[in-house]
Amino acid sequence: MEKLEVKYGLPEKVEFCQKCVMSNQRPASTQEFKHTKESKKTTLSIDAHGICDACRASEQKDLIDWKNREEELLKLLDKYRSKDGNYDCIVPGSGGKDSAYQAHVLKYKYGMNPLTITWPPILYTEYGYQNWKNWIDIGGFDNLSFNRNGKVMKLLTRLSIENLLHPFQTFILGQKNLAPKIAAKYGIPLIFYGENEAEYGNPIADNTTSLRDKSYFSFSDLDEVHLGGVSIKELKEKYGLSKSDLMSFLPIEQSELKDKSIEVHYLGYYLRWTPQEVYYYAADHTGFKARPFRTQGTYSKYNSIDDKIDDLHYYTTYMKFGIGRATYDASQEIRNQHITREEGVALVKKFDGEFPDKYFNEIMEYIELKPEKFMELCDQFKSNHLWKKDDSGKWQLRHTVWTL
Amino acid sequence: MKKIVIVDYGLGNLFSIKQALAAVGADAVFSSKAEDLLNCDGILLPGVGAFADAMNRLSELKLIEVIQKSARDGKPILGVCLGLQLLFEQSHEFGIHKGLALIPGEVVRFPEAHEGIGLRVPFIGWNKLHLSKAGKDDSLFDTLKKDINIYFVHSYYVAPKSEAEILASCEYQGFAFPAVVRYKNTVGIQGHPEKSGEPGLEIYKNWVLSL
Repeated sequence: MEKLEVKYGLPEKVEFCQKCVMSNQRPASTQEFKHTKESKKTTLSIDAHGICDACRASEQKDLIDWKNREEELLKLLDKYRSKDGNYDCIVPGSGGKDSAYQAHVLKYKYGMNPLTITWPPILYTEYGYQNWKNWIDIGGFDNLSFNRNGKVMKLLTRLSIENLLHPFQTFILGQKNLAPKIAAKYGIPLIFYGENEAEYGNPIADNTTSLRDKSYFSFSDLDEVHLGGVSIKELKEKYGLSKSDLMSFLPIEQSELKDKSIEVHYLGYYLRWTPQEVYYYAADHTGFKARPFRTQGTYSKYNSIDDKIDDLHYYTTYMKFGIGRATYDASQEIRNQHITREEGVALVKKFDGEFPDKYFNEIMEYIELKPEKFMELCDQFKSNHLWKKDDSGKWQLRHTVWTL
Repeated sequence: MKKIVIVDYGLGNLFSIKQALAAVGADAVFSSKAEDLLNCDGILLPGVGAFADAMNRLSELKLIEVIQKSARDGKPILGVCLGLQLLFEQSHEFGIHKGLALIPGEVVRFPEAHEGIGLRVPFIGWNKLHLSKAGKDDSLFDTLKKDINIYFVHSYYVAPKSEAEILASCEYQGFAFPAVVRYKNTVGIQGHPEKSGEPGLEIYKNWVLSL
């Protein structure tokens, strides 16, 4: 048999977790500012029993003494709680269910003084914008939204699609990099993110400490940095961008971080995190509303709904890794015992890879990319070990969770 | 407040059921202790997965006799999904396995096809309950006047010895099967009321009110 081409350093043999519906092709989150065409992915590990790291991490949740963890949190908060009216922590977010919950429990349950900060979506959905507004108006928080240079944002988003088929990169970058910078500028000592990424299959070791690896949000050498898969040098020379055009996308410089003491924590380390419960909490306390219709590519309505580009993002993960949005959603809900694996498999079969046409033309127009070009890129970025053309010339996945 | 024990034997979507019971004003706890089962107003037997695994777990926890005794003593028991199937004498899922035998009858697989149409399993989706005469008189559906649609996931269905015990049935591609069954103080529902929105909560509420 001829050897099939494998892109992105993905595992050659496709395996599915026996407990959820995720495959071993799922990449762990990477340092986006080092992300290039040649980057090799670290992927989800599935153990000898056929169970993935994300499911193992979820099993560990049952063994955690959550009371103990909450006491750890109280100690941390007592150390930093401000008494002079200054902010004592930053909660980055969009006003979606997670950030709404984080900010609300920190302020109203634990008596902290959070500043919420927002790196706005590339293209707000109407209900996403309303949720952000409700977060501030109903939840009751100070908020700083950083509106970056939209022209640069568009260019970088287009480049990240053309070079990496990764439409969400600019958003991820901003979301990760903004908080440390604001913290340094305002002298706020504590940043709270929500769930640890290990929940979703980054190496399990990530989860044993809530302190986010500082290499995620700082850099020391500009030559290493890439945006949209393009080096800073090339962005300057070829696209005429200046360093100040790019600063808002870049991580905080290590020199700036060094003389500051900023602690970055995951609230999900301290408090048991169940996305569906967090959704109900946000609905009760900050006026959060689910998307008024089913999200294309999946069956859910309550997560990642504020950016029109998000739907496209999951479509590209389907193209590159064979993993669509229903696979992500169903895996999470299986781990939280909301649905069974049987249901998950049926949902993946029904919804994974559904083309998100609702906002597609609007997005293409906004970032000035021809829709046909996007479709061509989707073909180019497919890895042969995952995809083949059937007799009628249609692309089909070689391995699916429902045929195994 | 009525105290309900949700039998925690390691299988099933316990959390949603607890939330649903809390929403209708019951005090629901998870337990696998005999004394808790014996000292409550009603027992809810959940279940997801394979019949034999579930019976093995109940046996390991020494709960089979406790549940049987509770039923004999007249304690209300509600089985949900696999929990309903466990109430029967035996199941044909992967061989023949003995159940709790609280309701005469057995558990059988959907036929491959019905009138030329293949019945793919598991059946996953919503289905309308058709109430029997007994069902129309039963307090479980007291407050439900309109169509009742419930969410189901199953490959097997229950076949009680006597049709009189069927409160409601559903159709899968024209094939009718019992969906809600009552035998004395024991009730079972094949679907998942806790995942079925308002009508599902109504059913739980009516059961709680009947305790």
